[in-house]
Amino acid sequence: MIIGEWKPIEEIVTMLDKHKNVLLVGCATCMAECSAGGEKEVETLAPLLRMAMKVKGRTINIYTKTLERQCEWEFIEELTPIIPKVEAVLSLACGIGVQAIAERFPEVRVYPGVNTTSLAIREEPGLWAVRCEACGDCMLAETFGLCPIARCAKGLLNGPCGGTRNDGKCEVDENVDCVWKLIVERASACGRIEDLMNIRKAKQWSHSSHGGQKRMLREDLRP
Amino acid sequence: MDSKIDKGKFEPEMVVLFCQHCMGKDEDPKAALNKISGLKAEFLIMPCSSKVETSHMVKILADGADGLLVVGCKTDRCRFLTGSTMAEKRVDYARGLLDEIRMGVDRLRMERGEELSCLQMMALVQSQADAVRALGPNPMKGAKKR
Ligand code: SF4
Ligand code: SF4
Repeated sequence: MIIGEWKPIEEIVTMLDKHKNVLLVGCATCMAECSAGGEKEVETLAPLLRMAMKVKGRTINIYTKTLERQCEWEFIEELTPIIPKVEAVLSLACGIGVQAIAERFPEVRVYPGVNTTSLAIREEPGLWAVRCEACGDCMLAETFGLCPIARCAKGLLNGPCGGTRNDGKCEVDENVDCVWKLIVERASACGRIEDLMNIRKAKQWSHSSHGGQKRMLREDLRP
Repeated sequence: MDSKIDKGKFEPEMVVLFCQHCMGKDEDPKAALNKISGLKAEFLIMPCSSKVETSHMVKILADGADGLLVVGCKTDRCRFLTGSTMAEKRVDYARGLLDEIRMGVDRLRMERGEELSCLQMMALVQSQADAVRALGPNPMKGAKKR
């Protein structure tokens, strides 16, 4: 899932400074899963913002709505009847949802309430950890299903770096397993440790987030 | 029960969310409240203190309550084992949010109790009402007809 977390309330209050009627929109998919922008968070942030504004001597009228997904046009249409009542939208979706709402309703200001951080998994209740950086040239086949781009502090394709701690943690963060230690363990468990002796070549980074907007085209799916 | 409240002062409107198991059998805080002059509190019973969500706490304060008290069972007496621990974590999180917006963390508090009598419950409410009194009325007062 995509993960994110609330921006500091002060930053949100400053963004909404000039607005009296605001629509706070949640997303019931990724942002609900990471407890940043589902219905619960929308219904927490709305009264919190009302109070934060009041403390500053202002009042604000906040409408709330949580869409199934903010990154699909069909779901975004549900906002159509509310948009004429507001001057601004505060979205608790990832950056994709925020941009989709801004594109669909150019007549209102659209603000992000969340800092989108990464593609992650929920490791334990209340703990999410990144698993993928969407590099566009997946090498998980060579690394036994563990991603060194997302999980090695140095992004090493041929690790480990030599700094791995004795307890198997990364030298950069004692709370994080050295992913190359995990890769070695998993290769051993498969009886294929010798595969790691192959040198992995430099990646094709042009498929990643560098060099302009990426697009994916499937003619067979187009009208 | 005697009240020590000085009626000349601002008297906070309190909301109390309490676990059904933290009070003694046959204790009825709503009935006991009528015997204390001055103390204004609304008591809401819960099946377990862990049923309280952050959104509930924030909303109760945004609707104008001056203070909110969550009362759960002692850690080792929770029927859901970790229920009151989870409630306490949520209360701490919500207090952090109140701090962030400078509403005053002491508007919200959690207490624990076992076989509480009405008198003991009222003492907990009084104690938090004293802390809330120092903060003054909730600026949201009147936001919603309570
Ligand atoms: S190699 Fe690239 S696509 Fe594959 S998991 Fe890692 S970052 Fe994601
Ligand atoms: S210790 Fe492991 S995870 Fe950390 S930087 Fe070195 S190889 Fe990467």
